[in-house]
Amino acid sequence: MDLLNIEHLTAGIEDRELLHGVSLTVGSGETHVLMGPNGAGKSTLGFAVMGSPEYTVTGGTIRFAGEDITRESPDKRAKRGMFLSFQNPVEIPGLSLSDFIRNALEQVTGQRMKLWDFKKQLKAAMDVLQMDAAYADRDLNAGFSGGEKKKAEILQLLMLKPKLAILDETDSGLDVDAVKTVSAGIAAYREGCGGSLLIITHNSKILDALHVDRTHIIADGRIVKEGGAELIAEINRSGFDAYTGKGAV
Amino acid sequence: MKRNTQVSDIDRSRYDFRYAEDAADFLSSGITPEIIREISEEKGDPEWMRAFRLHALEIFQRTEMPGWGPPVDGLNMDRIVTYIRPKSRMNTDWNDVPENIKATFEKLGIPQAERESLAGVGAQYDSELVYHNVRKEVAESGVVYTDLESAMHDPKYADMIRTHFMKLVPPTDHKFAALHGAVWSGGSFVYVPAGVHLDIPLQSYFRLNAKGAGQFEHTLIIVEDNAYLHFIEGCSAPKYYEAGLHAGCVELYVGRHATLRYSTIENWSKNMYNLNTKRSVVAEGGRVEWVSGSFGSHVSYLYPMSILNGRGAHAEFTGITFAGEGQNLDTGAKIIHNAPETTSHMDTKSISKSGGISTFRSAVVVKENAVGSRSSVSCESLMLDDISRSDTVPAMDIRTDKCDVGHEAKIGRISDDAVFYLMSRGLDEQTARAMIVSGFADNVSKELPLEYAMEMNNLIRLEMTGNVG
Amino acid sequence: MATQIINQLPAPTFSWLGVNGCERELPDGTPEAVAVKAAAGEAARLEIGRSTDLTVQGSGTVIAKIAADDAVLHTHIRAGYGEQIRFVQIFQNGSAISEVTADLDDTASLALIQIYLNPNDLVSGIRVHLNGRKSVFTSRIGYLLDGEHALDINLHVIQSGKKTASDTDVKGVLRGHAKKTFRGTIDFRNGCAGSVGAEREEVLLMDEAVQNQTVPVILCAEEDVSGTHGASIGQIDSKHIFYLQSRGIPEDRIYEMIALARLGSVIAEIGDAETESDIRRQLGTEDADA
Repeated sequence: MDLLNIEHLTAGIEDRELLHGVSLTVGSGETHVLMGPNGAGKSTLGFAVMGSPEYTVTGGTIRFAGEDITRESPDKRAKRGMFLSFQNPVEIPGLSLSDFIRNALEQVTGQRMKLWDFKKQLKAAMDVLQMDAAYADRDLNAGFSGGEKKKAEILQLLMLKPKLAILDETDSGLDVDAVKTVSAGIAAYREGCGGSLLIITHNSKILDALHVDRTHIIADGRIVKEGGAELIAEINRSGFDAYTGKGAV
Repeated sequence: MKRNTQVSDIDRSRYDFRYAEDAADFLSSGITPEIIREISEEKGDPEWMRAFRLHALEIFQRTEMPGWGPPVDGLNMDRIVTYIRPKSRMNTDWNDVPENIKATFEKLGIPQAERESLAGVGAQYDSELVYHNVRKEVAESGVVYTDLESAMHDPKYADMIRTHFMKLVPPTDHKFAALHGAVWSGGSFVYVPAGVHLDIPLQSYFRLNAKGAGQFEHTLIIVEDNAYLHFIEGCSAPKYYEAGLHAGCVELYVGRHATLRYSTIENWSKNMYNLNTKRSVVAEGGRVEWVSGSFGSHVSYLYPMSILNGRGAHAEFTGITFAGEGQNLDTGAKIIHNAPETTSHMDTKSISKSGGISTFRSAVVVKENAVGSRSSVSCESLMLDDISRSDTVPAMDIRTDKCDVGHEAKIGRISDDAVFYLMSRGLDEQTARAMIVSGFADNVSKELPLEYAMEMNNLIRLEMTGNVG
Repeated sequence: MATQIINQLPAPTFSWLGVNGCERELPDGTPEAVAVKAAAGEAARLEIGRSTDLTVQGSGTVIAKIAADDAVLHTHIRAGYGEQIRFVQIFQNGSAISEVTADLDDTASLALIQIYLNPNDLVSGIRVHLNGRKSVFTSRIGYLLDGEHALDINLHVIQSGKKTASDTDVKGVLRGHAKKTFRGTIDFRNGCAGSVGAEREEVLLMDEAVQNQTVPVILCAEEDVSGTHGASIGQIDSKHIFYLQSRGIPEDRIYEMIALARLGSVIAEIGDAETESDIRRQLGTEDADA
């Protein structure tokens, strides 16, 4: 059965439509890549699928594990096993990263983990990401560098173990070493719980270590091409011009 | 260590500021019901207006001075009384106008005829010709633009004026609103019918006619639904009145989805007490936009108020205040969110120089019913030397949880780096500083029509360097 | 008892706003005099339950927990040359009038931490004189107010020494019918050249019947200064809500979490693990077994 099934999704901000009928399906355990030029609607799709109130869905349906979730609140989607990593995660002074994850875990699983067990798990996940243990007690994303924020997002992915993770530009702004670390985190997630991935990116470094099942190209709010992993190499060679109208002239 | 351990000291220790002395008594003396009747007689007021004036006088006499703000004890009430008495008008002439004002006219290049009018001593400034053309265009669009006194006698508008006059600013509002209600004289009446978009701004400058008419003038503007008006009050040239008090009143009624932009450049001569009251009420989806430059006066109290009474109504206030030597300018704005989803924005700058005192004072009130409202205030002050003073006294009163209110204030000086940078490109220090200050004021200048913006920049140059350009 | 206007705004404004001061009856009685000499190492801990005149000197941390009814607390802090004092006040239930006055000499520093855990009726005045050259004042104030409770704070930082610095950060949460007034004044006196001052207040409004008054004043009679003021009043940013929701936390829990986080960031400034844990346990943000 399809895990995520998007049909004819139209969505936008205020009166401006940004997605003009997007359909996309991700199966259980699969790794998909969503590529496209700036402003194509990649992030919009991620936010709309996760139910951001900033974007209004005007048509189409989003199904998760067969259930229509188009109108569901984001926390309910998270409880179903969906996860979106943010490009710019919000900073919350006063709320420590570890308290936050423990709270979220309790909500998602419905169980309060023993503090000792939780700390052990958190430590293990932080080791994978080569995060200093001190980060656990720091305020959520407050004063984190760009790279640290990305790692904190992947840390939540590892702890919450969602069925589907949408990673929005998780690699942008990272140096080579950080990309490696984040990739290792993503690999650990795949091995650990076999979850599906929808990776939003415009470069392919982060994909090197992953087996990609399917690639979707989005341009101007529409899926313009779909294919296998070979499509990534093609984009790397020729860019998006063929899909943005520029190449056709 | 010097400290008294008595508990009651807790309070005494906080009484280390003084309220302005109560000036009510000496201000109230001298203006009698007889004088008011004389004024009313001379103007041929309708009966209701005569009664209104007398009632306002009673309120004036029993109202106390506000316990905050700059002192007004320098007001010469005898002179004001003499001045407003119709049968004993002061005889001032050009020779009585202070030299510094004359010099400023000279520097700003104002023609002689205009100078005399601005100084309140000349015959009526002959702007009728220019004004006539404006009036023709305006009349064709159905807009009424006339002086308030003749409108009050015109059967077409009499009722409209009676139902709106001092309803927004009642004489009970404060002592000088009461004085205004009793002695008001002259001013403009503008009526913009529904749906009319007036492209040219109306300028009260052209109405500056009879001697002293600018002193207690009343401006009443009604902009009906879906209409648009830009009204410009004042000019950059210094206006001089012997009596030294300006207690005008502006009332603006903005209809549904209508917009009224009200711009003021005020440069009263530096002997003036400018105790002016401006207020607007805005209906559903309407907008009021205040643009305000305060340069003149010895003392100013000026806080245009916007009452957002209809869903989605919006108020904007953009202001600059420049307080130089001998000036104590207390300016700002008040915004009352009194309906759901109303929005407001305030952006003000103030400059203090040569011992001048500038105070930014504001109030943002979000009432219980103003669910979903948003307000943002940004005020910035510049200190140009260490003998001046700049205070910022904003207040926010929020009565609903469903709102978003933000406030930012900043105070500082011209950065040495900026001056150095400009000087390294060949500007002398004075010019460099003048340029930086003009730039600081661009929140207001970019909201003004070009010629007004240029005038304002000239004025800033003049204040900064003593020369224009 | 005598009714008096206290917590007066150093620069009064429009009287119709009702923010120029607050009227209270002053209880009678003789306060207990307590003198504390702060020292390095272990914090001095005080439990205050009645009217007290407290003097604090020295260099070190002093923590006062206040739970009293109709009490008047006067605290005078004197930080001499180079001394560093951290003074913590934790106001628990009850009603009190508190005034903290402080004088700072050259290079002295005072960190004032105030935590208001839903007191019934509290009037709190703080007046700090930065007389000394390079003296530094930082304050971290957190409040959580619910029910019909009222809190009235008047902070006045007078910067008269050269190169002084002040930084105030206030975070609060209002629920139920709570009413709060915060007046914060940075007062740059002539001669305080090179001084800086900053102040921020963030207020989270959680119920429709709350009342919030914020009056952030800057008075300035000196050219060479830099002062900033910020206030942000309202609900939680929808972006924050979405972020936390997307990790599975329902909206009502988010409000609880953010409210406690606001206070938590102030609690973390106390710098005394035992006191911090106590308060967190009281708020239910820390497990008993932690």
